[in-house]
Amino acid sequence: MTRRLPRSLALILMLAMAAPVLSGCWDQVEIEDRALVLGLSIDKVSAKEAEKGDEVTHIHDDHLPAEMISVTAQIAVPGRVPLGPGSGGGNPGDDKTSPVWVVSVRGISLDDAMNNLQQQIADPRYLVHLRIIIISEDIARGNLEELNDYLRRNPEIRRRTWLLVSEGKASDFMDVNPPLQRVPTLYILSMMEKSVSSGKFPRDYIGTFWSADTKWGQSAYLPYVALRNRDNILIKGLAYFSGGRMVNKTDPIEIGGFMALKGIDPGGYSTLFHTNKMGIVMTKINERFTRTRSYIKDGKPFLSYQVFLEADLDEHYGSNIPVDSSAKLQEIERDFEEQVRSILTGLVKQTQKDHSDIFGMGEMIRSHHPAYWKEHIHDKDDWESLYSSTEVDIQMKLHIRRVGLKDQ
Amino acid sequence: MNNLRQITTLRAAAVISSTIIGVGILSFPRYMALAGNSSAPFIAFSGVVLSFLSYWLLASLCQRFPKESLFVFSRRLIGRPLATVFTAVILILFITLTGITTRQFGDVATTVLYKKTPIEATIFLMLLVSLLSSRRNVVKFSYIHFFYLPLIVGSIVLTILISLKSVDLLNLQPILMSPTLEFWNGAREASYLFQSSFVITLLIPFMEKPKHAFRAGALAIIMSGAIYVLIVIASVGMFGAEETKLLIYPTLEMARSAAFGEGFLERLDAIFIIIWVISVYTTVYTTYYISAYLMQNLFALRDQSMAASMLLPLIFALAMLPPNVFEAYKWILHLGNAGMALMVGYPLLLWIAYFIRRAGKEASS
Amino acid sequence: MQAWKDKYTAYVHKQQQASPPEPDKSPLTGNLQADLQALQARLGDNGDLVVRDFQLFGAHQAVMLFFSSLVNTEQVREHVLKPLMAGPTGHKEIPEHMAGMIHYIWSTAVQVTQGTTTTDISVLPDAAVKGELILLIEGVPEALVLDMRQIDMRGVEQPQTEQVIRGPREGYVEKLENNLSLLRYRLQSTDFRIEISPIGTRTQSRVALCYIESIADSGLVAEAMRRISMIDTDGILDAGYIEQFIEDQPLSPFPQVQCTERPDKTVAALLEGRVAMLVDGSPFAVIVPALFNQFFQTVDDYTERFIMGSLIRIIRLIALSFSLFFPALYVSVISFNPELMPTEFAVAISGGRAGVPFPAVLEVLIMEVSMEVLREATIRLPQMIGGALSIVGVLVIGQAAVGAGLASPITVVIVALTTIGSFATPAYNAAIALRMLRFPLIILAGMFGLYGVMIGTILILNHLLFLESFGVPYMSPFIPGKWRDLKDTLVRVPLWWMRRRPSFLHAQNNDRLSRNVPAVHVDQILRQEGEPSEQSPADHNAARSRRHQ
Repeated sequence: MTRRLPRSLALILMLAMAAPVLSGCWDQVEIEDRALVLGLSIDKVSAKEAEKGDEVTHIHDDHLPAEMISVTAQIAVPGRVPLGPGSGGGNPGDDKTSPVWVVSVRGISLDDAMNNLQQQIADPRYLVHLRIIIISEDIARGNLEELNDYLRRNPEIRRRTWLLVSEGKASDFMDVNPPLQRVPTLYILSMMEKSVSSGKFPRDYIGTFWSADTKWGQSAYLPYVALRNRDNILIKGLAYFSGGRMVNKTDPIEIGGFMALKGIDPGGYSTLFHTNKMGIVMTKINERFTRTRSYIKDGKPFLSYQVFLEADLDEHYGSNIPVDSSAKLQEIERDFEEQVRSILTGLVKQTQKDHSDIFGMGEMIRSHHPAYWKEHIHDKDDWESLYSSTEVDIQMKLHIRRVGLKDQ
Repeated sequence: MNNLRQITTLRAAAVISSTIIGVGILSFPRYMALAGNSSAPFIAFSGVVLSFLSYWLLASLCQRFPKESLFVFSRRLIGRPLATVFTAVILILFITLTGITTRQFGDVATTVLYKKTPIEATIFLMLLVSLLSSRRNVVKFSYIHFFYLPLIVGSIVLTILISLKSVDLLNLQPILMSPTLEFWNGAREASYLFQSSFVITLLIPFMEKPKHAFRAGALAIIMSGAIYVLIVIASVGMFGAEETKLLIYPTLEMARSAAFGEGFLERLDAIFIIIWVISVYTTVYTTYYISAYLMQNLFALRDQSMAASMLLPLIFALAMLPPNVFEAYKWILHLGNAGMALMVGYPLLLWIAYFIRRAGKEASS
Repeated sequence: MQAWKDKYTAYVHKQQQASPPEPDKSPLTGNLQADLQALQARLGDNGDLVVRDFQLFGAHQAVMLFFSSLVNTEQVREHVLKPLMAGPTGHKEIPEHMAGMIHYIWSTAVQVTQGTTTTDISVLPDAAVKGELILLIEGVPEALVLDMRQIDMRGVEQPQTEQVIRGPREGYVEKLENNLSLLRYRLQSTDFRIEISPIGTRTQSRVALCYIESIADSGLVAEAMRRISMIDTDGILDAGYIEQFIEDQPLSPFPQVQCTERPDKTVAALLEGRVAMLVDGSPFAVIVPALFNQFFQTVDDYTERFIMGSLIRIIRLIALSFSLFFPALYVSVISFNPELMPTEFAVAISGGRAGVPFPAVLEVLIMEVSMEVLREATIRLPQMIGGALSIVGVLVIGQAAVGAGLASPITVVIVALTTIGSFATPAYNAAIALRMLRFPLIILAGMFGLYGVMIGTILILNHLLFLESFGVPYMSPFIPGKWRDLKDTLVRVPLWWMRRRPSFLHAQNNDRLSRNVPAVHVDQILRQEGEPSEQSPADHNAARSRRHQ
């Protein structure tokens, strides 16, 4: 025992010598000293205003692109969001107690803009809690390469961040003041998350977007949102991409169509339609299931979709005929199938016209017919042009399970 | 109680597999996807089979000398000078491997977690911990691996299971591919990860049943191989092959995309990195231990702790040598090539010597 | 009394010789010296065995033999020794023949309520360990067995540091005789050995080493004796002194011996094959080898049913990790990795910390240190004041610290959880190790965040894995890992399933239950009883009683 002591002492001495080397706390930044960016919005700046750059990252240089973007960040203000549930909280709408600080900056690239932002605020900014990025339609229709590069490279960005395309100016979304949540971005976030769980929208994080964007046999899509009444946010459709640029958008009901074709559960859309005999009927889809097959016919890809839907009868009016037998339900189903099938075919036709395979049909061909794929496809563009001539067959089967509490 | 042969077959397997699961786990799917797109899991599997073969070559030789480690009986087989040269080469290989492994670890930690912490501090701390535990005997060494392995395997499997639900099977088809040059290159690269199964040569003299050395290694390679293949399946299945090629650490991205419940633990990546610290530690510990052991043998040092202490500055300097991430990866590939040549060539040489000597003995008797 | 060195050499010497096979049943010979030797050989060396030879009625050689720890010596003197040693004048009708002597003594001399006679020497050791007095007379091939059992229980109180809900309420007291009788009372086996010798050149404190001969590994016993015999000091005032002299790694923060106030716990340890040491003047027993298990195991686990026992063990383990890791994790999440928190919570926490002037490390350190100060103060105070002070301390100071902006409310929650967690660890000496180790972890967390915590954890775990207590790895049975031993670790399986003793103790006799008792649940046995079965009811009873050991 006594022999061991000196050696241990030597060890402790060595550790003590190592201590100054190790002491540092380099990365220690207290949470209240971090400017946590919760949301970002990115707009295009018109060429006229673009002259006034802050030049934080560069001296004027003609080789850099002349176009600029305007970035609006929502930063959480420590102390404004009280700890614990419902302790006062102040009245929303009062600008002085707003829990977020909205800062607007300009820059050539997103990184440039973020550096300009840092120049304007005291605390180091952190993107670790960035949950929502909203880009305006102009940006989405332009080149997203720079944006994607920065976001992919930055380890602070989560792959589960939502990237939204806005109708009109994206910065307006940073100013919304919803009464349900103290922090506007978190409201948008919970809205998107809940729309996923209630079947209103597919799980389409920025990571999913990137994955789809890199795949040769698939095109990417993003949620398309719009503002209503200044404070309300509407999911207005899918903004779909071709060749890395946004080409078009769908209607809200077509999101349901898209999810039906992909077989994404749970069902969340209701369809209001006019039946031939039964007046106006509304059905709510509960479950979706899709069987997909791919063939090569005459040297051309051919896909067949069989969509099975399960639904409840939600509403029925404008007709005296009661819905009281399975024969009548079948009649409703038939009318539904016919009408919705046309919606789906319309959606496919529209995306084919825009060369945007958001359904991932190419992936299906790639994995099931590798030989054909190898021969014809050498590039993402190859598929996107081939996609428009692909034949798609859609079969539809609706099954109404319940009719609610009302008899007849 | 004081029996030296205390390492059971299971524990030997634990040592080997916790050594194998290490720094490579983060970027492994990228290499596999680069080599074979959607067939990445198949390539990884072929790599496991390849490493299985090379391990068999080594272990079955060592099993014939259950009382000695490779460095002792090689002297008898091919003569002291040649054996010393080979031992020295292996020593250099393992010193470099330790250095580059910690360097890779430091790169990840600095990029992802601690941007301002100097990479020197991160690396030094890791090496210090390995140094402190390298002074113990082989039995204690096996205890450490046996204790940590369930933690490592459990958390990796948990991460994989969580992310399996977002795997799209389309991304994994077609499963097979024809054995092109790329395929073999990929399989070879995959087998590099399993080179640390070399540690068995150290364990055999202490094993309860030295005859089970191959069984232990087989168990270990199957287990760690299964984990590697699963990781490739999960990340390629989740991102698709094209996206996996773009990511520098696909496994980490996989852990980041997987959330554990809504809002409970927001990001698994930091948790994953923590567990990864343990798995890197067990890997570095093994290579460090082998280096210290070889150094002690080679220079006939008094005890292993002295050898371990002398190695620290050397390994640290080696870790700081590569100028950037890409260079570090290039080094590790070169090391893998060298290791492959050595791990296959040296046992082959010894086998030949063994057969010649046996034939000579039979002829004389 | 021999010195420990002699005891050690004698023990090692004895272990090297093969012990002669014991005769099963043999009658008393009537030769006093031969009978006595045979009896002592069966009882082994025991510190509390009294062998008193005297002149029966002033004329005959006789020997009285009993365990002082089980018998009231005062009563022996008054009611047995005094009448028997009275001269022949007091006894006019002493029989001529020795054959009638026993009957005469029983009917006229001794004033004892119960007693038997026997001619079989093999039942005598069992009688002795039950607390009976054995009287042997020269020339008489018969022994008188008198029931003199009286366990000395004066001043025995409930143990203060190890309270249980369900289980015995007795704790050790300062007097060694009392403590030994508490042990003998629970462990009435002839294999139970107590070796007593003094240590300390000035205090001459008697130290008792207890083990069960047929169970404890002889290597372990020899090692314990060797270490005790190495002790060279002038005073042993408590069992804690012994602990510090015999432990493997004095520099380790972890206790490598188990300290207990409970005789039942000691007996359980002895039955597993461990060795216990008691010191005269100390109400604590020191048990070796001690393992990491002691951090979360209590008597309650065994007295309560196994599902509850297992669940509570897991809860204790959670509390234990709370007390070690919680503050460090908090610091690293707050200062290094806020992305791990849910966004809403992160925003709220940053609000809670907004006014605090210190970094999280400092804040937590200050709060933890003041909590330790508070705890230490409460221990030293009389119980009544102590309770009041702790409430004042926790509630008022915590509230005031938050109000004054010295600490954030979350920190107070964390510190409180840590402290409560450390109280949930059963063994005090083990809890203190974890409590102190959390400070280096907090500092590491302040320097390197989660990486630092991880490095610290690896260092602690490695230390635990390298540590040994009397040749047994400290982390047994997780390491070296035998499935069989894992039955009594994180969970506790039913008692009837634990058929073997822990293998890491290398017990000589590994079977807890006898091998031919089937491991079935009690209700299965009961069901069988209604049906005709091969087993006799006596076998059932035997099986059941064995199960209740």
